[in-house]
Amino acid sequence: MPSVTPAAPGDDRSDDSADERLARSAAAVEDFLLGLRDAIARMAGDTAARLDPTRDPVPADLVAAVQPSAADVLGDDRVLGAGFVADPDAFSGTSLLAWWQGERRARVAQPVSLGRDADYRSKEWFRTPLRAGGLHVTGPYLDYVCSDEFVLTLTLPLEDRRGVVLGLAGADVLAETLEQVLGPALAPGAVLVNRHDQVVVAGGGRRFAGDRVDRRAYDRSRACRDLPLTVLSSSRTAGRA
Amino acid sequence: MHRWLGSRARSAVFAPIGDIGRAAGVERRLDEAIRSGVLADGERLPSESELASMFGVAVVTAREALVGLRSHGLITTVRGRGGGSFVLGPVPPGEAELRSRLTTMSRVDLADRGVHYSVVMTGCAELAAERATSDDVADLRGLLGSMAGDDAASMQQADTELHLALAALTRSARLSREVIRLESEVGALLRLPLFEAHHRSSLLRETTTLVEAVEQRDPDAARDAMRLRVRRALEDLAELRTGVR
Repeated sequence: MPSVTPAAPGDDRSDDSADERLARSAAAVEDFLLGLRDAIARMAGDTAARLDPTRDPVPADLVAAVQPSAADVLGDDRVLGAGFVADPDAFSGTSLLAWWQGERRARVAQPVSLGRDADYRSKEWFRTPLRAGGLHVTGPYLDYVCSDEFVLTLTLPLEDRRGVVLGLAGADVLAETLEQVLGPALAPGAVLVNRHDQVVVAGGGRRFAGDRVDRRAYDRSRACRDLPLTVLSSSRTAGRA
Repeated sequence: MHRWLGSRARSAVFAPIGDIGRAAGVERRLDEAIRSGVLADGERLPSESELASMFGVAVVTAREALVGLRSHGLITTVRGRGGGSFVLGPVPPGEAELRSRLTTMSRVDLADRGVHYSVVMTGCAELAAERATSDDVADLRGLLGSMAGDDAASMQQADTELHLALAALTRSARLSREVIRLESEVGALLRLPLFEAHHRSSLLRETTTLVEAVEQRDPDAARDAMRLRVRRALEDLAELRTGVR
């Protein structure tokens, strides 16, 4: 492991560089995930624009309207899957996944008989943004509905042009991809955590994605702009926090 | 009926053997079967007397063949009920191979395997503490004794055998097979940091606590000791991985 020189008290220069490193880490996270959020928002807007405002959409309308926009989000190969998940309350109780994922960007089959996924209404990525509005970041968690993988999911409510919420537009990224993309931007021992202080990406050191950490063990933190994510680092503990 | 007499290739492995160099013949037959994968990693071999009757040789001859296989690291023998000789083949991965395997793994993958290993091994430690007899504890103490030398390879070997012994104490053959598979896949990686002396002394301390917990018939303490031991090894491995990349 690369050695980390502890910052001596009052050593402004090393504090500066640690803070700069933290700022660069947060900027890398924002660059990737806010870019993804914007792509999801465009998918939601374009989908709404393709729907006929004079009648209630049926599932087939939605699939046709979402697909071209989902293809744009899926053009980024860092994205595992993307699409639209209907709010069954807006479709007389019918659940609908218009979601594409994997290397071949295959459409996810409808959740059918397995009780565990048939009702996605209880899932955090579904429930929370419908209630609270705006972007929601879920995870990293094991997604049984679509991919059976360890992922981070971004979801946004999708409204039609009348302002009726039809469901959620979203995208998943593998925890492993986040590690590849964002890991190098984190100082050894620094971690990106979600609002539950659960590690999303660990940059070297002794922590792993999914661990829950104690914020008090880190002496620097920087919240990412417009994302419920924070970068934590510690010069003293050199990742042994 | 043994499940592994199912195929013709397998039956051929155990067909009677000629007169000359009987032990060497038995050993060669099994050696080839292990290296070629006809006998898979983690499979339990028949007992000495079963092997003797399958090959048409004396029990002492079968035993001699097993000693040869063991010395080549192709099988491992676990004492006690649920124990027996298990295939370790084809070739145990060396340090260089383990290091290169480590560099290709993501941290997410490492944590995924580590958690799986930890849950299985903590369960084994817990059940072993409930079920170990004083003889079983004596076996574990013996393995602990052979971990005390200052030599990475023998410590890795003794620690692997200790884990297999804990698995055997659960009296579940399925669990034992699962542990044998996990030891070659994950356990070997987790023992990679033992090339450094300070990791060896941590492991010795943790394993002593574990064996003491089994001896005290304290399942919770055994569980905790195993959980901490695996987590520390996983963290050490993560740091080692940062270093080798």
